[in-house]
Amino acid sequence: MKKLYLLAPLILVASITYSQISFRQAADTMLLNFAIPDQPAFNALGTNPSNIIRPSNTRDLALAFSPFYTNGKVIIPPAFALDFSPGMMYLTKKPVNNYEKLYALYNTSISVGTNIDSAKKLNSIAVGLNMNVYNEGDQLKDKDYKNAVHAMLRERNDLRNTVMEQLLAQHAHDATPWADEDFEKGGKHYTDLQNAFTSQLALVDAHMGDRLDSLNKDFKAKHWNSRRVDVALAFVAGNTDSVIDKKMFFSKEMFWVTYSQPFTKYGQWLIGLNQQTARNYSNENFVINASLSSRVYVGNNRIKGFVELQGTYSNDSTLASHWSDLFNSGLEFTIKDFIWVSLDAGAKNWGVKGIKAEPYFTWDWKFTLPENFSLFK
Amino acid sequence: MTTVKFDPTKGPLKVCFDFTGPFFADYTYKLREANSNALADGPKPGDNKNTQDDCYLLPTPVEQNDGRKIVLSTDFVSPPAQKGMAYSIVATVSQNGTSIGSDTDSGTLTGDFQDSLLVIFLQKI
Repeated sequence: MKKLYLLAPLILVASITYSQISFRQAADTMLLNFAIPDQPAFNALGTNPSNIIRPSNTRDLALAFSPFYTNGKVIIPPAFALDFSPGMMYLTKKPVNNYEKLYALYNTSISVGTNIDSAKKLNSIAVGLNMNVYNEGDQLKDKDYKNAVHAMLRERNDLRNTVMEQLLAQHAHDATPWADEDFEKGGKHYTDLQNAFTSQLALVDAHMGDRLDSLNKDFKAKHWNSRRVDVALAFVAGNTDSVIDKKMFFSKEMFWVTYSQPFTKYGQWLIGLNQQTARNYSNENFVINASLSSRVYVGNNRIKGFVELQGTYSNDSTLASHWSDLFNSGLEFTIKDFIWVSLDAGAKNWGVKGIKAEPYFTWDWKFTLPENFSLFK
Repeated sequence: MTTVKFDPTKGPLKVCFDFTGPFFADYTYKLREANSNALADGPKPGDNKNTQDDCYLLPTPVEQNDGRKIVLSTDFVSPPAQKGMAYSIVATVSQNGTSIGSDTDSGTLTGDFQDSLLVIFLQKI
């Protein structure tokens, strides 16, 4: 029975992914931020046994909540985190030609989170930093993409200027000749000029729009699972009082590195390293863990499943140094483009004599701003 | 259209174009004769691919630029991921290294082709 419980998400993934969505359709709808947004502060506070951090494109703002419905009751989510990117704000104030030089800055986000653990009477606050240091799927950096776009822009600009000069020449001997000002709103001949301009350029523009769409689709299909490296760091402080005040103490530090690479044309393979130092509240000692995780995703942008294996070395003064391992599987899906649900199920083998492997099931909500919305207008 | 006044007794005029925001742009710069569509300079194509300044010195003697128009026609587009972010295109005229006026076009990136036209009318003091 336990085995069936663990396999349920995988069966669901397989049935949805393989039977209802063809891979060709999937490739067409994939976005470049294939995995759901992850926030180091939330991960550091959470109880999810997986120690991998997902690669995700830096967004203006993202939120994460732990479940607000448990054991048949609606509750205030005990864990909450907010992620924002100062670099994105900076990006709108600088020329794009220095993007590569300041790549890491633009692609860094800061997350802040809180957690209330009623059972342990522990309040925690976390601060995290997430940085994408390398990404082959970034359109602002990709030379081929940039050259193709600039070629189209040059063609369009030349065409517009040719038409502009022709119209100015045709009307040079009017009582009030057409001028550049007419191309700006408010000019004397603005409406006449727009009509003349539109009739000459509309078809060409529609064609160029299709070429741009096609270029973007091809780029996504080719690069949605490109190689990338993400690093993240988080610190957690906690206290056992009802109010977060000066009695906060260091609780946990976590550091992640995730390398992502294509897994055939239809999936993405993540290899993650994680190191963490956490306070053991029972004896006030610190536990140092180091994990190596391997996760494979298959799916499309709306729904994807994964399987994961993880090995963890723990230097714990209570249980002595030991290895534990984890089998994890799950589903990630969007309800809307900006609302994500993540389900994880698996089993953790503690690697300690006398302690049985422990099955688990967790789920989280994550929110990003919709794609068409930006804080930095 | 913006009017920029210059001192005909001072040094040469220079116009610089700045493109800020996550978008790709190709432009054409022209300098039109006073009261005419004939060109005094240009058309000169350029883009925001590299980090070199997009600056052009206007013809001398300085006084002959009275009544001329600087025209900057730009086509630009952002990748889909940067849709919704802000853009700004600025043409700044300077004399003796000091800015004497500018014209700006700013707005929101749509992810589709966009275009912009800045016209600066030069007038001697």
